[in-house]
Amino acid sequence: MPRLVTDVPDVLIIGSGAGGGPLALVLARAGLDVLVLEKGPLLSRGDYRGQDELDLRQGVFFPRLEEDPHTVVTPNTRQPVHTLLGWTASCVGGGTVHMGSFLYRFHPDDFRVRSRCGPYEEVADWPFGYDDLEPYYARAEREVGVSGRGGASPFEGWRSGPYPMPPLPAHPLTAWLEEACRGQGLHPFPTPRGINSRPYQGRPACDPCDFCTGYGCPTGARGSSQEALLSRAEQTGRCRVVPRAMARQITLDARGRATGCLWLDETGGEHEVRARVVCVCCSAVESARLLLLSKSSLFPDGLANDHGLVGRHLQFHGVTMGYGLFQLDRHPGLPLAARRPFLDRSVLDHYFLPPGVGEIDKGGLIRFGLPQPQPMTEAQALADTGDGALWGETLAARLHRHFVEERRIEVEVFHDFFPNARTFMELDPEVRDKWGLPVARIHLDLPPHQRVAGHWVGQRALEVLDDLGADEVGLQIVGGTSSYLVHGTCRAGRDPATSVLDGHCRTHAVPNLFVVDGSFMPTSGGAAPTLTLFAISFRTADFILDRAHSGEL
Amino acid sequence: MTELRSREYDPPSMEESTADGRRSTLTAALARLVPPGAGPGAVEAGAVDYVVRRLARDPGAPSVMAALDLLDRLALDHGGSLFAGLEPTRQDEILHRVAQGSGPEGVQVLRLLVLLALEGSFCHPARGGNHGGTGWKFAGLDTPETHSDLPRCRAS
Repeated sequence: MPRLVTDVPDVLIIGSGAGGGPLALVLARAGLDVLVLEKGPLLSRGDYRGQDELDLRQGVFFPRLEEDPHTVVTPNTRQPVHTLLGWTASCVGGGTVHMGSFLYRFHPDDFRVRSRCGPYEEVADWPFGYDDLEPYYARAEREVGVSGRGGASPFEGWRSGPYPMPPLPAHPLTAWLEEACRGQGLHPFPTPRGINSRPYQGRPACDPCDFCTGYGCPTGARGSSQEALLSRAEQTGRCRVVPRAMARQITLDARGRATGCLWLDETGGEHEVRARVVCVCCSAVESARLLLLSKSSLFPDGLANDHGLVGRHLQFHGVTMGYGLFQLDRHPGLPLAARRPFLDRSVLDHYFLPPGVGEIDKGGLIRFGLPQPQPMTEAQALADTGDGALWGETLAARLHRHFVEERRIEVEVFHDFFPNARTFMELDPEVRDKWGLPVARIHLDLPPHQRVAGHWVGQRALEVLDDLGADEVGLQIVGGTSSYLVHGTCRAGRDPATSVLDGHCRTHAVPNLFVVDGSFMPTSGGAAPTLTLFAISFRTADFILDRAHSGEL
Repeated sequence: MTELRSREYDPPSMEESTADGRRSTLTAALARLVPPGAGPGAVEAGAVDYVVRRLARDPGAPSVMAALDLLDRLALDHGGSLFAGLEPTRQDEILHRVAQGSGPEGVQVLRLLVLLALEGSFCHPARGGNHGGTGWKFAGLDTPETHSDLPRCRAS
């Protein structure tokens, strides 16, 4: 493959997910030349149309474990284990291609956990507040396309305007679920989804199908970075997206300004691109890895790592999962049978815990929904007894009961993963990827409050399902760790001695280098973070434009 | 006696040793392992075609072929016929024997075949199984217009 001939773009964006997409759209629209390098392949609606569970298992959105792993060490595992933990995705659009699209805003106090809760592990306040981000939340909701109902919960932060689209059509069971929530004194509201409830910006309304969370959207109704942002950026004629391009090093000039990057194509051929501004948007683990791989005489321990902070404060997201099981014949009055449309209700009432529950008062957000159907996985889980398998009439009867006679309501609690000194990433001293580069080694340990919060909030959710009449309720995961939602490795703050980025995602150390993804987050927030990443990227784009116009960049 | 019968068993030739050559054993096994209940069984859902197609290019094929060989060998030993030629009740006896009598290896043989049968029942129809979306319909999924009727496109 010949060296790519690229005119020097104004802005180089490495990574095309929730961090890279808004930057590309805003900067290209403003007339800057933008080049986006994406390590993964370019997939399309046609690819997503044909996906099944085997595609997901084979990791169609992820790198191959044997070629491009992370490794993980926990207090229980002495030896590093190869893992896909910390991979959000590797494809054009990043994790937003397969996301569940639960696009919540953070609570205003998520920006000031240290002030609200006091010292706990390594929590810190953000260098800006909800009020600073609100206009960008609103913009992200407009540009990505979010369906929801503003003001429906008394616990949400203030809004400058309504959602651009009304909530998605409600499952017939919704009224019963809401009543059960209210019976517990809770305030249910429609889960905001990055899914079109009506035709929006040239993309169709969602025609609910059974292949949603985890899959690519075959119609474009989901507002992925690819569909909602990159495609429009490309339409300006000023943005080019190059897939299968693996950035391996950020380059610097003698003055310590970023000049671009070196990247590798699939055959290992090396290319160089130079740019005025460099934005690293590879998701928190891989962005930190790229900085650490970018050693130079000015930064012998890795770029912007002059205080040894890159890779520290790694956070995932706390996740607790539960269910309510309903035997259809016992609930003739409940409209449980239909699997569509979405049953989308959330509850913020337990975002903060009452006194005495835990060491600090951070709780979580409850999401009620119908499970994403995974018939193959469900059937195999029923059959597989570990030391053998059910078979014959026993299995047939069990499958029938599961698929025909029962329904489940799913509960997911999003809650904080608290930054702590034992959880961080570094370059693996031994394991290398297929390009010969050290992979990311993740050290993982969970502060006990994560489990306490997950259990307490999870139990409150089960009470609702119990009131709804569930024949069985339970928590399957308590205080677990999300593998896709990653944050914190380049903490943002005001003090260069204790943070990597400033309040605009710019590295303290290199004035034209930005890290724009979950890496900046001092704390993980109590809600799913994707909308916040979109919003931060829109905010950073405005900052870059402002500085570009003033001649500083 | 058992020894003698085993020796009488003539393993299939290389050509027959393809998955398709063992289709009758496979079909008979899947019919008993995941039989039709109120919904389709694995055979009705198209799992046989799926497994045959997958084995043609799957490195895991030898273990499945060995599993089918084991069923035929036991069928000859204990029933005097290849597995497919036995009555269903005798076939079930063989499967019970595999599950209980052959140690961890036998248990894994059953598990392997059951999990494969379910893969073939619920995969995308373009993979050869889940004929006409039968498995998906049984599981309450019903979106042929966006998925099952359209060809699968693969990323280049």
